[in-house]
Amino acid sequence: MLGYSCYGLSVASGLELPDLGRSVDPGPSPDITIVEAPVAPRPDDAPEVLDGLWCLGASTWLDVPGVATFEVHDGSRVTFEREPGVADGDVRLFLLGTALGAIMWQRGHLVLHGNAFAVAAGAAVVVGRSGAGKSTLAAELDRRGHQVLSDDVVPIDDEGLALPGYPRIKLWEDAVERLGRRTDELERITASHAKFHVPVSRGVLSPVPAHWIYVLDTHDGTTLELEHVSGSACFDLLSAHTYRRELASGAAESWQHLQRCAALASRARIVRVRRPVSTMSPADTAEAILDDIARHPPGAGARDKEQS
Amino acid sequence: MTALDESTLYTRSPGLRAVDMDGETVMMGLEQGEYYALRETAASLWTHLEEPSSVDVLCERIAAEYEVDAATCRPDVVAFLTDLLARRLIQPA
Repeated sequence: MLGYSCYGLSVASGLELPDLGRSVDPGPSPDITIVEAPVAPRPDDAPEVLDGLWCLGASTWLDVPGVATFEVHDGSRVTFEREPGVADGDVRLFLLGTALGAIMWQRGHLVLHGNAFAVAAGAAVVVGRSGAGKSTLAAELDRRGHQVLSDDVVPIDDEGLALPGYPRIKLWEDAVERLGRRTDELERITASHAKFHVPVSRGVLSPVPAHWIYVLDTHDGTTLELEHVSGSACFDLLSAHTYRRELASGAAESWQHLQRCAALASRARIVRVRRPVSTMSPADTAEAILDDIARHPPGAGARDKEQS
Repeated sequence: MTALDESTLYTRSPGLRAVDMDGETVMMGLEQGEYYALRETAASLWTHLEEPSSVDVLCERIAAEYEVDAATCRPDVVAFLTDLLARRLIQPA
């Protein structure tokens, strides 16, 4: 078994995971074990919560036709069974995405769909729909020397800490070229996806308080607009940008998810960022967000709320 | 749709959970599987509905809290309760 660390947890894996850095000795009791083995048929009564995703009790099953079947169990174990001839990279794409995301759900975290980066006073999380420019922005922040904590999946624990994932950003080809990096220098994620890994520097490995959440979107206007969001609208945004929200499959899970969103909304400043759809300037967006962070240090929002 | 009976006491249906979300109330029905945001007078009425209450009593409480007279706010209170009843979020006590 190869050993890695991710989201502050130790991982023992039968599959090489270069995305998680250089492998080390996994030690006697890893937090997460990943094995390639036959996946037992899922129970007939397991409800399909999303296309190819089933949940029952402590298990989540993911079926990716043409690639592999995964069973994610109890926040600690992933078993996968690949179809004949499938390359490691194709398995990794889903293993490090949905399967590890499901692990984070099972461990009781609020799992957001976006990136997180560190500033001196804490972490900022950038969420947004696909194509809003999250990864391009993360690459820009990395270029400016901010530690990118996580890409695509950001688990927030019960104390409001963002758990650092692994040091790479997924970018589509055009976005890589816009940043002035040549795609042939980068490792392709899979042969069939025109998406590339941009390795980023890795420093912070411990959890960081998530003080700011930025919801990235585009609009028809010509200027970049920031709008502070308060009250129940926070829930709409956090829920909409929860990673695989359907994994909160039952009433009890939905209630837990609502409580976790409320806890985060009470701690973090939530801001909607609308950039002009016609122009794509990650530098402008990064500057606006860093300026907002500087003007709203941690705790200021909570003080404002107490005074009002 | 069930009509609101203004002489009946109403209270919250069981199986509802509510949480404070940055100063507002977000409520979910475990059975209904829906979320509702309650603000200002709606949040206040929801608080009072923890105890079985009549339309009269609810109007008096809103009148006391929001500097409005009970007769003026009554149509809004009735409309809100009718909506809650239709969504099975309140029931006769």
